[in-house]
Amino acid sequence: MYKALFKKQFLQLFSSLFVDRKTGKIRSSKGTVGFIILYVVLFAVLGFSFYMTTSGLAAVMIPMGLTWLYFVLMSGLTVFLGVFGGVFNTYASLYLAKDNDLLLSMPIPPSAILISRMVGVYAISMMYSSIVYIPAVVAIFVYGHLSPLAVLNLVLLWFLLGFLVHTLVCLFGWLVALVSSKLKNNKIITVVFSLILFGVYYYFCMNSYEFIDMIAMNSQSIADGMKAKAYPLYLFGRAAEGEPLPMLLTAAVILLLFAVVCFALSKTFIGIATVTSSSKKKVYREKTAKQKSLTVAMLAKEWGRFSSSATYMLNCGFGAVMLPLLGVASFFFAPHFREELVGPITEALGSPAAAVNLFSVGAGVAVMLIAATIDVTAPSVSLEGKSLWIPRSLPIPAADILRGKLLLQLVISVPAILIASLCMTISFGLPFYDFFLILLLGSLASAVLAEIGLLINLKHPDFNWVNEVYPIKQSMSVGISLLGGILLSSVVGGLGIVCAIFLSDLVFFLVGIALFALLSFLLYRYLMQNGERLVSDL
Amino acid sequence: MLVIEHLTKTFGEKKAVDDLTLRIAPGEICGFIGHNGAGKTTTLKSVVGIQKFDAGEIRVDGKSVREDPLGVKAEIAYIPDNPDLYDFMTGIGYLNFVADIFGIAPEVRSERIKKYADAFELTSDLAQPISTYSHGMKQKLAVISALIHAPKLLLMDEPFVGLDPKASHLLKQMMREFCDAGGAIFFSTHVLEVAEKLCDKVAIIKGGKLIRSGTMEEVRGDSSLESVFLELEE
Repeated sequence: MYKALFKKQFLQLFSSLFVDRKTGKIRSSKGTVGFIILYVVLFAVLGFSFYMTTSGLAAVMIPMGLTWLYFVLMSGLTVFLGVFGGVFNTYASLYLAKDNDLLLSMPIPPSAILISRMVGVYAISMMYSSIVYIPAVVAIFVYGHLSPLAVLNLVLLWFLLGFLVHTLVCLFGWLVALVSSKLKNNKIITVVFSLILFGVYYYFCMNSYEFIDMIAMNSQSIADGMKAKAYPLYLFGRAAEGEPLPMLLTAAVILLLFAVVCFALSKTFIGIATVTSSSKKKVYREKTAKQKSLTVAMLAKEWGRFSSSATYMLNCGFGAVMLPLLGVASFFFAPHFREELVGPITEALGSPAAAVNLFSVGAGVAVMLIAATIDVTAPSVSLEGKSLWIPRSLPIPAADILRGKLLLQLVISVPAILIASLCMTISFGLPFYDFFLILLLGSLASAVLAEIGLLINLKHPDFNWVNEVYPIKQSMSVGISLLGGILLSSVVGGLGIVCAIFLSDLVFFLVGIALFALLSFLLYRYLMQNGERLVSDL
Repeated sequence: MLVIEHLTKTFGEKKAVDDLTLRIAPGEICGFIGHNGAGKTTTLKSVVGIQKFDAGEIRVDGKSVREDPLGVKAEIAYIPDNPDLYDFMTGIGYLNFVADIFGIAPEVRSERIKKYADAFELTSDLAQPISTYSHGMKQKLAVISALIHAPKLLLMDEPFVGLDPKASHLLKQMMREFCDAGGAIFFSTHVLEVAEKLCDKVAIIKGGKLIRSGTMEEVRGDSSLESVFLELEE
């Protein structure tokens, strides 16, 4: 039974590698290999960026004999990012799968269903934590000498840290589920909870270099403090150096924590998975509805889909929260930037205007980069799921179906871009026309990314999902459009900085706007002209 | 109203529908029967325009499904065998969405929603999210949404599945009234007794081929529809 459940779980998790989710047919071996290479490259790029960020710390600490401290810090980072990556999936993966009723109707103990799903969550936890853990261990190899026992311990600790991440995400998922099952506005709770986590995450990311410098400069005193006040962490670090007793203690503590969380989850699983909303029935009162145009009706439908799912809102619309925050935050960091950077830039480039140029471009690039994380259209076709028959059987031109999806992304991103542009123009004291340029650049970039996401999803939809987390977080269309968007924005941003130094910010904005406008026009025309075929091929 | 000529649809090696020709006139209810996988749903989906077909022609009220799919869709309504509706909408939200797509004026839609929702005893649940609906309630909502724009042709795939006896009786009554008012209905069913009592016409499909069609009297003769069907299936 467990074998069958695990097999089902892994098939669900990795099916996109082996099965074409559009046609339901097995991929060719070339297609599968291609997909695996794509994922490996993606993980390698991310892992390399972590290595570049943190290897400086290894270079300082390991020669000082503080390998254990380096390992403790990297493990902390592994757990933090592992939890961040997995926590938003966990609630939906454990409790909201569509096969709940089917599995619960079979003679399967609820604990077995839970365990099989936890194995899936563990696999995700391992994937996210490996992005940090493997580069950290590579740095230990590069800067230090390891005994065979230390190598063995590092391998064991890899799996154990995966368990720790898994335990924490399951605990968070369980807490969210408990709160959600008791409260009416559970989507808001999930969103608020997630936003807090995002806030902590971004605070950490934005200050990571400062943290690393601070730690590198104070390694010895931190090590002394940790030994004195957090001895278990010291022991944990020693395990990585090949000490057997600390290794055993670490394994015992992590596995005990895991067992406690498993027990708590299994005791409450069936109650949460089968909970039905106790909200009071809303009585229908007859009233005459306002008639909507086709486009508005489709947009309203898309908005309804977006706002009904915390997973969708958080994963695909988070940039819309970040942009106004960036705008407000700019009032705090802009004076600091001006104070610290205007002098050196003026000196280096020989003109005070160059600093203003760079600030304008910087603001434009920052807005564009965050806007690139809004990928509402990328899973929007897949999310039609089994309801796809509705738009296809109604007299809706394909262009209107697609336009509704594109408009949703703009409705979500443009107001956020507007707020961020306005705030940054004021806080950095930029000329007022820069506000329009930043707004236009960000909005056009968002439009292009909306079109790219939609196009990829039309070509590679997944209608056979059991849990909406799969199309929203793990689909090819989302991965490519998110990564592609960030890469495209980074390239344009890099060129912008060169432009600002050697030409002017205006050249950057005008070229960037022209480029995105042209791309957007071409993609829009392609979607509108080929929409009928693309939709009928679904 | 509906003319299907030499319809052929192949999935890989398998011919799901093989040279099927059928005509349904205004005022007729045509029952489409056949075993599982015989090609009923493929035929219905081809008429609706959500399934491409390899050969043949389908016309609704003179309009070709191939050449004018939107024009055809404006004249028809389709209810699939398992109506997966938009769970994130309320019942009334879904009905208004469909009415918006067909451009139904607010006063007209209100009147129709009231008429059909009251008849199916769904009015008090219209403000609830569809995610809270039972299968039967979803089926009723799908039927109401199908009737909201007063289509000329109704296409239904197993419409009685999940309906309670009262709703089932009501649906049969509505189907009759709909056709008496000049509409036409083409529906698939496994319930031969219903087909026998309700249909003016019947079409039997086996392995993608139409093996018998005509008026109910022509098809069954002196026997029951069940015995004719079983005989043809052997």
